[in-house]
Amino acid sequence: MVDVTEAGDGAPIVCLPGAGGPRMTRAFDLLAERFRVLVVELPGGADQPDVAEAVGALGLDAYHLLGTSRGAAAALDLVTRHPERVISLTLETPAEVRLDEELLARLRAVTTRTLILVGDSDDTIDPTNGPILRGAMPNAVLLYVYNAAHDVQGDRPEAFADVVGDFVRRGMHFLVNDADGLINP
Amino acid sequence: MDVEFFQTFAYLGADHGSSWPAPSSLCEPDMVADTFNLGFDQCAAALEAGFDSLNFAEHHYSPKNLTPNPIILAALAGQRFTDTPIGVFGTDLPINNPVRIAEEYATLDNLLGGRLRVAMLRGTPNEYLTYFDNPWESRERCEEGTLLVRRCWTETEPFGWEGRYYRFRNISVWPRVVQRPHPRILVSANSADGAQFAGRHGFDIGFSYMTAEACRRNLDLYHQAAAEAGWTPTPDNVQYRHWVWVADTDAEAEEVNARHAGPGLFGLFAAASPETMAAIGRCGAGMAGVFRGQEDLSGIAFPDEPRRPAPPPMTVGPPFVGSPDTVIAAIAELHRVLGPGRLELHAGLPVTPIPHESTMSVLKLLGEEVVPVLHSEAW
Repeated sequence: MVDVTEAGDGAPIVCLPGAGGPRMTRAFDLLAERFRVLVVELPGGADQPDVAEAVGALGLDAYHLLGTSRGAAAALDLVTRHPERVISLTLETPAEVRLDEELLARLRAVTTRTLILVGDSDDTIDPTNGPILRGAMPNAVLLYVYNAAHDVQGDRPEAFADVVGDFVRRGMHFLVNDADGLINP
Repeated sequence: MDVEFFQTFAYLGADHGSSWPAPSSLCEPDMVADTFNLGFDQCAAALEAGFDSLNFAEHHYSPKNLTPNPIILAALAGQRFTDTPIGVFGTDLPINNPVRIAEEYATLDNLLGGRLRVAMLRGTPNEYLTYFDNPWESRERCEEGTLLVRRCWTETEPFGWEGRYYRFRNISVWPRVVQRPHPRILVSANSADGAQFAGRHGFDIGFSYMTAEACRRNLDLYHQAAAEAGWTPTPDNVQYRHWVWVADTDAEAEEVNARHAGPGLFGLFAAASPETMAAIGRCGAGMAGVFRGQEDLSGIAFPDEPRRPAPPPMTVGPPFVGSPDTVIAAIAELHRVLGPGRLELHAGLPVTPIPHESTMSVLKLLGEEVVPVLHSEAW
C-alpha cells in the first residue's frame, strides 16, 4: 500500500518528494490545473527498491516522473530500472545523488527526455550535480531558475509550474518558442 | 566576377563531432587564440590570392563557426587589412534587436571608412533555439527588422517605430553611417519570399549552397519584383556562396573530400539527441511557414515529429571540388545558369574541420589557377 496525494486530470505526473515529505505545494496545485499530479509518500524515505515498488503499485502504464531533491536520486534510479514506463523525467535540485562512474554509465544509456532544474542560488547541493547530469544524459536539458534556492517550487511556484508544464506537454519541443510576438496586426 | 573569401573561423582544436549546441567544456582557450590568429593569416593569404573581400557570418554555440558576433571580427579585419572591402553576410536579424544592430553596423561603417557590406538574414533553424525566438515569426521579423535598420541609417531626426513585431518610441542612431544613403544590404534569396522582398526594396540578394537551377527560379522572381519596383539589378547585386576544395588533380581533391566527408551542410546543426534534432527540425518547418498547430506530446514517449506537411527541402548542390580546371568548369556552369557577379567561397569542405596548412594550400592554388580566371573579362 502506498500513500498518494493526488489532484487534477490529464497526463499523470508522479512526484517523488524531498525531505519535506509529500504535500501539495502551490507549484503542484498549478500543475494540477493541467495534469494529474500524484505525490507519492515513499516508504522508508527514498530507499530505492521500495520506490520502484511504490510507484509500480500506482498501476500506471506510463507516466511523467518528477523527483525533488533526494527524491531526484530515487527518480534517477527508477528511470534506469524502468525507462519504458517513464515518458519524461524532471529532476528538481537533485541532491544526495552519488554520481559515481557506475551511475553515470547507467545514465548514459537513458534516452528518456530529462529536465534538470536547479535554483540559481541553491547553496545546499553540489553545484556540479546539474552539469554532470547534463553531460552524462544524452537527452537532457539543464535549466537554472533565477531567484530560487533549493526550494524551487516554494521560491518560484509559477515559474516552476510553467516550465515543468511546458516540458511535460511539449517534450524537447519546449526548446522552441511558439509564443506569439505580434504587437498589432 | 568578384571573388569573396568567407572566413568562418572554424575551431582548430580537437574535433568532437557534430553536436549542437556543443558543450563549452570542450573549448580550449589556447586553441581559440590559434583559430583566430591563423584564421586572420588565412584572410591575408586569401587577399594575396586575389580575393576581393573578406566576409564573416553570425552563428552560435558551435565550434564550426566561432563567430557569434561577426561584427567584432569584421572590425578587427578592417584594422588589419586597411584597403579591403569587408562583408558581414550576415546578421541573424530576427534573433537580435534591430536598432542595436543598426547602431553596431553604423559604428563599424565608420571604423571601416565605408568599406562595409552587410546581410540581414534569418539564420539556420537552430539559431531559433539560441535565444528562444519564435521561428514562425522569422520571415516577418526579418523583413520588418531590415526596413527598420535601413530607417535607422537614413532618418536624420529622432523617430519612433510602431511595427508589427517591433515597437520603439525613441531612436536616433549615432554615429551616422558613412556610406550614402547607407551600406549595401543583402537579403537571402534561398526562399522565394526573400528574393521578392529584396527586389521590392532594392536590396542585393545572396544564394547559399543551393543548386544553380534552384537559385535560378528565385533569381527570376527577384528581377520581376525589381522591375515592378522600377529598377534593374545587375550581376553585382547577386552573390553566390559555396565551399571550394581544389588540389592539383581531381583524384587528389576527391581523396581529401572522401577522407573528410562530414555530415554535410546540415551537420551545422546536428543535435546530440534525436528529440533535440526534432525540435530543430520544427524550427525549420516554422521558418518555412508550416502551420504550427496544436501540440500536446504529454502522452507520447517519443514523438514522431513532424506529422504536418514537410517544408520543401533545400536543394543543396555539391561543393566545388577538384582540380583547378574542374572547379573552373563547375563555376562556369553556375555562371551560365545564374550569372552572379560575386562568388563567395569558403575554402574547406562542408562542416568538417580542415587543418590550417591544408586551407593555406588551397588558397595558394586558388590564387595561382582559379581566381585570375574568374577575374578575367569573360566572367
